[in-house]
Parts: sequence; structure tokens; C-alpha cells
Amino acid sequence: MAQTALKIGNNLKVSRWLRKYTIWIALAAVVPAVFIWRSAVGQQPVIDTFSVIIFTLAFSTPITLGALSGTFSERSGVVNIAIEGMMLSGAYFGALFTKITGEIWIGFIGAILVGGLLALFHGALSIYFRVDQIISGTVINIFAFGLTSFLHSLTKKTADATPSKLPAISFKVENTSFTLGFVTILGIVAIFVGHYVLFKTRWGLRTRAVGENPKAADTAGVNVFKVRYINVVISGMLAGTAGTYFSLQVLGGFTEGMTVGTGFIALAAMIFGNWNPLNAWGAALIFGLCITADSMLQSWYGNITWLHTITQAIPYVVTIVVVAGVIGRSRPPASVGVPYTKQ
Amino acid sequence: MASPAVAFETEKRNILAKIFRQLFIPLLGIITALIVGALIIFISGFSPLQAYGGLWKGSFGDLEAINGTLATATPYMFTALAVVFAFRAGLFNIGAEGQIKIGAISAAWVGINVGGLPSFLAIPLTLAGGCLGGALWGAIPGALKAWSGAHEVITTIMLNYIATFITSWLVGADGPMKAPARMSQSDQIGENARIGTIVAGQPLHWGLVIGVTMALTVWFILYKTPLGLEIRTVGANPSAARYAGINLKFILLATMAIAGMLAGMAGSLEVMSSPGFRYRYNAALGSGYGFDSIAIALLAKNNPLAVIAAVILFGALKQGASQMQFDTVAADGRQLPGDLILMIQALVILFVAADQVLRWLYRIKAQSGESVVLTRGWGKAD
Amino acid sequence: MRNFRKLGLLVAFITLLSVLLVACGDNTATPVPATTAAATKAATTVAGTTAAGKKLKVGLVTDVGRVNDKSFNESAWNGVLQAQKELGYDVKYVETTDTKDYAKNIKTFVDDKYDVIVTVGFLIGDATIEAAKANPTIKFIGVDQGQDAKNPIANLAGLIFDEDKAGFLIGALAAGVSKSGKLGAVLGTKSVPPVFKFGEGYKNGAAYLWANNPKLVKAGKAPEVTLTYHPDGDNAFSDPVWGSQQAAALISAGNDVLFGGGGNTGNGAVESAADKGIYAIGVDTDQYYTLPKAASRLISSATKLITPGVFGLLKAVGDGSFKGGNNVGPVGLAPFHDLEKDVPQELKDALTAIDKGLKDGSIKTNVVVS
Repeated sequence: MAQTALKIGNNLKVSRWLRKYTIWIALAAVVPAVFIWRSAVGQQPVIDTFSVIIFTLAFSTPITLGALSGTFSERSGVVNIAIEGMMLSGAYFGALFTKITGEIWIGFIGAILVGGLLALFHGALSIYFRVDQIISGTVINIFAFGLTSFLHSLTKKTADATPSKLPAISFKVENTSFTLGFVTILGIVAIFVGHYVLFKTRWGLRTRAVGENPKAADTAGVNVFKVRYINVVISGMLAGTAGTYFSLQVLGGFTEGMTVGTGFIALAAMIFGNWNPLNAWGAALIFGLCITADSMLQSWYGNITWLHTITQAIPYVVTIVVVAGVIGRSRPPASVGVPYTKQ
Repeated sequence: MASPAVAFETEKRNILAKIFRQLFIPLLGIITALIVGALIIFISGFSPLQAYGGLWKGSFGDLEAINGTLATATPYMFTALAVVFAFRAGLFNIGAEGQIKIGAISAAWVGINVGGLPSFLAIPLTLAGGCLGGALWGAIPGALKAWSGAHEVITTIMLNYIATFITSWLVGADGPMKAPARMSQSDQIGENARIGTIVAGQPLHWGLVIGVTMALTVWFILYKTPLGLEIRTVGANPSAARYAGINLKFILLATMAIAGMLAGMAGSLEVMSSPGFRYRYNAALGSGYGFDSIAIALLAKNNPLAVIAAVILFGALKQGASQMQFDTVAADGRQLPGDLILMIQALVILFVAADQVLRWLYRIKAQSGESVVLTRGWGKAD
Repeated sequence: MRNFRKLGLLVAFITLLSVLLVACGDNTATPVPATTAAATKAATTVAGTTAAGKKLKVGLVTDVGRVNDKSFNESAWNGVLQAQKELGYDVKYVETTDTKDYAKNIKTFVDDKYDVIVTVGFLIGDATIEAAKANPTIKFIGVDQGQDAKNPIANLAGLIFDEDKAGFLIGALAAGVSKSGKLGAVLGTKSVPPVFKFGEGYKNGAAYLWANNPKLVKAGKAPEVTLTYHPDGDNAFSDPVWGSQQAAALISAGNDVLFGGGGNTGNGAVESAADKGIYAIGVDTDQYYTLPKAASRLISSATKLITPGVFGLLKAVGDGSFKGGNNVGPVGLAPFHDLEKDVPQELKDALTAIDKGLKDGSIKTNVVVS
């Protein structure tokens, strides 16, 4: 009896371990798979494998930063569905400031500040006014789209093209050059820093305490409002940074609605990653990988409409399957979405 | 929180005052939003009078404008109800966009194939096809939530994308439903499967009447039937609902299926009656409805009857935008960018749905018992 | 509490201020963009007036999109602006935000008694035909809208283009200059016939050069053409980030000539290609002038001149020579500009011959739109 129980226990442990690291195992398996496949079809395996890795990192950048942005806000108990709006504003004002001042770093910092400013607004509405956080987020999303397009149109597209782009590391593999953008690298660093902050520091402990049980945290002497404000602003700044990926890293300019819903994908990645920065990054990488797969398949084989439809849909189907089967019940921070009232 | 004195005072007021109070805050909110909008217009170098004159003329200026406003509002009536209904069960349905698209293309498919039947068969069949398509698509996130706990926010967003891909492919370049020499459109549905417009040559169709009926029905289901009580109980407190012996899984599934059906109905009616789509499925149908519908649901404070008013306001803003752009010209010949309407929409939602801000702005004391919980963040995990 | 009100006011103030700054800054700093270098005043009053002696009123309805979309809406609007400048017409536009609104937006101009209404895009065709039939006294110009050649509507002139021919020419050019023999294209949705024609023409043009003039193909082997289309959707023509990323993927797969066709999506690809130092090919107008960042690597553009087409038809309304039916606008190859020396003389001669053959019908592009 006891032995069978132990056996089942061990099996459970293995399966739990597998479940916990599924994302990473799946991601790691892709590299040899691509290499073998591209060798087998007589293509350029080294370059193609590198392409897949580099593009996955690049394409997942805004999703990564956006998911981290959501994680910070929600871990402290404030729902942030306005990531998309903050990203778009970051993209626009980053380009606008760069164009006006001629200095890319002013634009970059400006984008972060604009993201933070919008988040402060979100914070004021949801923390001080105790407005329903979904309403506040919806308002910011709609307003940001309207404001950026309106200003862009009004200024006769001043932010259309910036004089320069953010720097990128370039390197060559077998005569093919690859680049890894500044924001991409920053995003990866931010994930690890964010994970450390949330789980290894006093600040992180307080943040999580406030998100789980604000009353208890308050009793223990934590300033719930302050913790929430700061985390929401951090969230906005991260979303603003994600916006610069579009306008200052990839394109060097702004176009209306250029973030094309990435903020919502980031939201999905955050939930997919169970409000844990490292896992959210894993989720973002899966999205990035699927976008890459679609791109690479098109550039390797050309446009086959039905195949294209399938490769486009894969990341979304995979997400549903993963969320339903692998992760199962997601567990948001207990007090997320509930405004705190000091008794 | 409320002191006994305040509660007592509230009780003393008569019903008329109560109604006035209910309307007062939303109206004040709309006016405030328009004032802030006017400031933006003025600072941008345009005349607010010209702009709002155009907005009014385009949305309510004459019978034709009103017809257009109501026609614009019609599909949103259903999709906003789809959001409200799910909200009541604690589900955050971002999936109206996918549901309306799947519903519309199902209706188009049925409508193309049953064209030979007489109207009294073809019309209900087509409508039923669309409703079924929407309901099935809506049921997916409901089932996933019920049996695996997959969060509906993720699954509905994902299903929106998937629905867009599938429908775009069906009517896309190599798609099986693409009409010859048309771009991203299906063939026309049979003549017998069509429902006419209310006034000939004007876009408003009978979907409006069905939509208002649906709003009343949704209200009735939610507040007057046992199912509605169960749905609201699940929304208010899932664990309590389970202890009370409510079949949680069934409620989640049924709620999402009904929500999907409402959106699917909107899609079918657009294909069957909207002259704008010419009785075809059009890949553009329903794009952006997911978040617009949420905005309207919030504006209506999740009240199915208030949806009727909220949707007309929303429709008016959308409908009047082009006339506003047409009429508002600055001294140097520039026209007002139409995106201004989005900012006004956002402000209206801010001041109406989040009336705390408005009360603070005008120093109006909060009335006891009036703070409505609209959403519950992501809802509890269980 | 008090501080909060102040903070709220501050945020509101900053928002308003930013609008103000931007609005003022633009009035003083940015001059109204000149549509053409040669702004002639001479013709103004004569051509711009009708028999009754009043100014012609011209309205433009965009396809879903904006008049400054750097794509076909903007090209058409520029034609209208040129008419305002040179012919003294009164002009206005309405931007369409919803497919359902085409008829309504056209009606805005009909109700205001406009003389000419320009509608832009293939999709708005049905609504335009209906409006033209219902309002025989108003002249309509439909960009990218072909109509039944046997029964033209008298007051509706469709402006269409043989995009496949322009695509064919750049395809041959690309095959001639590519070292790797791999030619890429990043395009807007496949569902839009003009885009599809550009892409297929490109492919067939490259194959044509290899079949008929193999010694001019630099790579010395049959060109491999990869066409990548944006997923169908609202943003097919306004997704430059996607275009840029797609171009990067194509380049890493060895493509060394890249054609970007599809509004801003294509522009993103062209700029990315130029950034990486490969040959880039633009679309619609000579993008050497519209994409300065890509100019140094832009070997040519597949041109489809909407602006002069629209202007020409508007002018025809003024001088009374307007006729309904299909008007086929000019397509072709833009100059090589900075990369003139990269194109060998024999290749230039071959391109000229192909152009001639396409025009007189002796060369077929073999592009069939389903």
C-alpha cells in the first residue's frame, strides 16, 4: 500500500516537474529540430537555426516587456488591460520626441515617461478613485489610440520618420548578418531583474503581499497605496519601453495603431505564465517562435494560402491548448482587480 | 460605510427624484466629456461649434441621420448584450468579435444554400444558422473554463484571432467561399433569405427591433428566471453557488453559448439585411467589435436595458464622425481628424462609467448603495 | 485629497498642453506640403469654373484608411490637391472608418451638391456605381474600380492600372541584378487584385528574363521568387513593423533583392531591406522621393501613377472632356537613381524592349486574377 502510494507520489512529482518546465523543454527542443530538418532538406542549417533563434527573440520582445508590465501591476493587485494603449503612446511619443529633439535617447526616455504618466493616471483612477480597473484600462486604450492618431494627423505626420534608430548588436554567421536590438536585450535583462525583484527582495515580498491580501499587509505596516502606485507606474514604464521596440527599434518612425494588438497578446502571455516573469517570458517566446515559424515558412516556401492560415493560427491554438491542458487553472493574485479601502 | 442619517435621507426622497438622479449623472458625464472634447478641438485650431454642429447634424440632424445612427447602433446592441450577459456570470467576454464573424459567415453559408426555399423557411433557417455558429464559437471558451479552468480572457482573445483567420481564409484569395471578382466577400445569400430594411433606401433594418427585444429578453432571463438567478449567483460568488448546488460547469457553458448566440445573431442580421454589406459575408464585418462592445457594456454599467441607450449614444458618435470631419475646416483648409471621436468616446466612458471621477469633479456626494460592481478583475480563480 | 485634485489637473493640463504645443508647432514649423514642384497659376480660373461661373466642388471618399496613408488613398488625394492648386477647385475629403459606411460617406457629398466625387479603392466600387446611377448629374471617379466595358456608366470614370506589367518589369530587373538568384517580395494581402497582380507579375517577369535572356541573369540560374503576403485583416496595408520583420527573414534566407508592395507594410520592408544593404524596390510612386531613408539602396519602383490619373480626370471634368468608362492609367519602371551603374546597359536595353512588348501586346504577363 505504502509503496504504491510512494510510486504514485513519485510519478506525480515527475509529471509536475514536466508540467512546470514544459514551455522550456518545448522551446529547447525546437533548436535541434530545426537544425536536423534544414539539414535533411539540404538547406543552410546553421543560418536557418540562427535565424529562428534570433527572430524568436526579436519578435517576442514587445510581448515579453508587455507581459512583465502586466505582471508588476497585477502582482500588486491592479489589473492593467491598458498595456496596449501605453505601448502605443510610448511608440508615438518616443518617435515624436526623437524627431523634435533629434536625440534618440531623449525619445526613448520620453516614451518610458509617457508610459509611466498614463500608468499614473490608471493608478489614480483605480487606486484613489477606486474606479473599476477594467473601465479605466478600456478608457486608456481607446483614448491612447485616438490621441496618437489625432496628434499624428494634426502634426502632418511629424513623427513619421525618426532621424535614427536605437542601436543594435550586429554579428555574422556564415556571411549572413544578424542583429539583436537594444530593446530586445533590455527585455531579457528586465525579465531576470523583474523576477529577482518580485521574488527575492523585500519590495517584491511587499508587492505580492499587497496583491494577495492588502488588509494583512496594511496591518503589518505596509503602505498599500504607495506599493500599488509604484508598481503600476513601473508597469506603465515597461509598456512604454515595449512601445519603443516598434517605433524606435524596428521602424524608425510611427504609424497609426502600429502596435497591432500586441498589448493583448502580452496580457495573454502574462496569464499563460501564471503571473511569473520567467514563465511569462517563456510564453512570450512561444508566441515569438510561432510568428517566426510563419515568417520563415513563407520565406522558405512562399505563400501557400491554407498553410499560411494554419501557421498564422498555430500560436493562438497552441496558447488555448496550453492554457487549457498544461497549466490548467490559472491562479491570479487573490486581490487583483479589487480596490483597497483603508478601514 | 453609509451613515444611518444618509440612508434615512435617501429613503425620504420620492421616486421622481430618484429617476432624475439616475439620469443626472450620466447626462452630466456626457456633457463633461463634450466640454473636454471642445477644449481639445479648440486648442487644435478648430471651432468646437462647427465640429459639434456637424456631429449633431450627422447623427440626429434629420430623419436620415437618425436612421443611420440607429443602423450603426444595431449590431452593437447584440454584441454589447453578449458582453453584459457574460459579465453577469463573472465571465469577461472579449470574444464578441470572433462570435459575430463566425455567426455571420455561418448565416451567409446557410443563406447561400437555402435560397431556393420560400422565405418563411429560408429566413428562420439562415438566422438559426448564424445563431448556432455564434453559440458554438461562444461555447468553446465556456467549456474550456468549465472543464479546464482556462481563463476566458485568454481563450476569447485567441479565438477572435482564430475566427478572423478562418473567415478571412474562407473568403480570401484562394478561399472556397470567395465570390468571383470580389475581394474578401462571399456570394450573395438567396433573395428569399433576406430581410428588408425598415425604410426603403435607408440602412436601418429590422435587426433593431429584434435587438431591443433581445435586450428585454436578456433582462427578463437575468432577473426573472431561475436560470438568471443561478447565473447571477455564479457571477457574484462562485464558491457559494457551488455550495448552493448550482451546476457551475453548466452555467458557465450555457452563459457563454447564449452570449455567443447573441453576437452570432448580430452577424446574421447584418448579412441578411444590412445594405452596407449587400447580403454578403464581408471580411471586414465585426472587426473591432470585441473591445467596442466592452466599452458599450461598461457605459451601460452592465445593465441590459441601459445597453439600448448606450448603444445609441455610441452609434451617434460613430455615425456623426464623418459629417463632423466634413464640416469642420480650420482657417488654413485642414479638416478635423476623425480620430477625435475616439477621444470623446473614451471621455464619455470615463465620466459615465466611472462616476467617482465626475462626483469628485463636481463635488457631488456619493449616494448610498449606488456603487455598482461592474467587473471583478479576472474573477476569482475558482 | 487636495494634492490629488492638483495632480489630476496637472495631468489634464499636460495633455492639453501637449496638444497645444504640437498644434502650434506645426502651424509655424511645417509648411503645407507642395503636391507638385511646378504650381501653375495660369490655368486656375478658366478651367476651374463651370459654365455658371462657380468653382467646381470635388469631394473624396477614402477606402477604410486615411488620406495621408502613404498609399493609394494619399496618392488619390494628392491628385485632388493638385486640382485645387492648379485648377482652383474646392476640395474636401471624408475618411471611411467602416466598410458599411461607403454609401453614407458618398452621400455626404451628394447632399452638399458636389460636382465631382472621387472614391478610392476596389471595395468601394459597388457603392460608387449605385451612387452614380442615382445621381446622373454628378461626375464620379473610381480609383482601382473597373467596370463593364460594354455598358459604361456615363458619369462614372474608373481609373485602373495594369499592375502586373509594372510587376513584370521589376521582376526582370530584379532577376538581372540579383547575385544569389533569390528574389523576395513583401506584399499586402493577396485578396486585393492590384497587389496580387504586382506580385504575380514580379514572379513572371523574373522567369521571363531567365527564359528569354538567360545571359542577363546575373546569378546564372533560374531565379527563385518568394512572395510573402500579409495575413488578411484590417491592417494588411498599415503594418510596417511586420513588413520590416518579414524582410529581415527573407534576407536571412538569402534573398538579395526585395520588392515591397502594400502601403506602409511594404514601406517597412523596403526600408528594412535598404538598411541591410540589399537592393530594394518600391511601389506606386517613385519611392526614391517618398522614402528618403531607403533612397540609396532603392534600385527602382513599380510605378502606378494614381496622382496624375486622378488629376487628369478632374481636369477633364473642368474642360468638359470627361467621359465615363474605364481609364487605364500609366504603369512602369522608376529611374534607377543612385544605383544607375549597378544596372548593365544590356539589361536596360532588355527592359526597354520588354516595356515596349508589354505595351504593344507582344509580351504577355500571364497574370490571371481569379
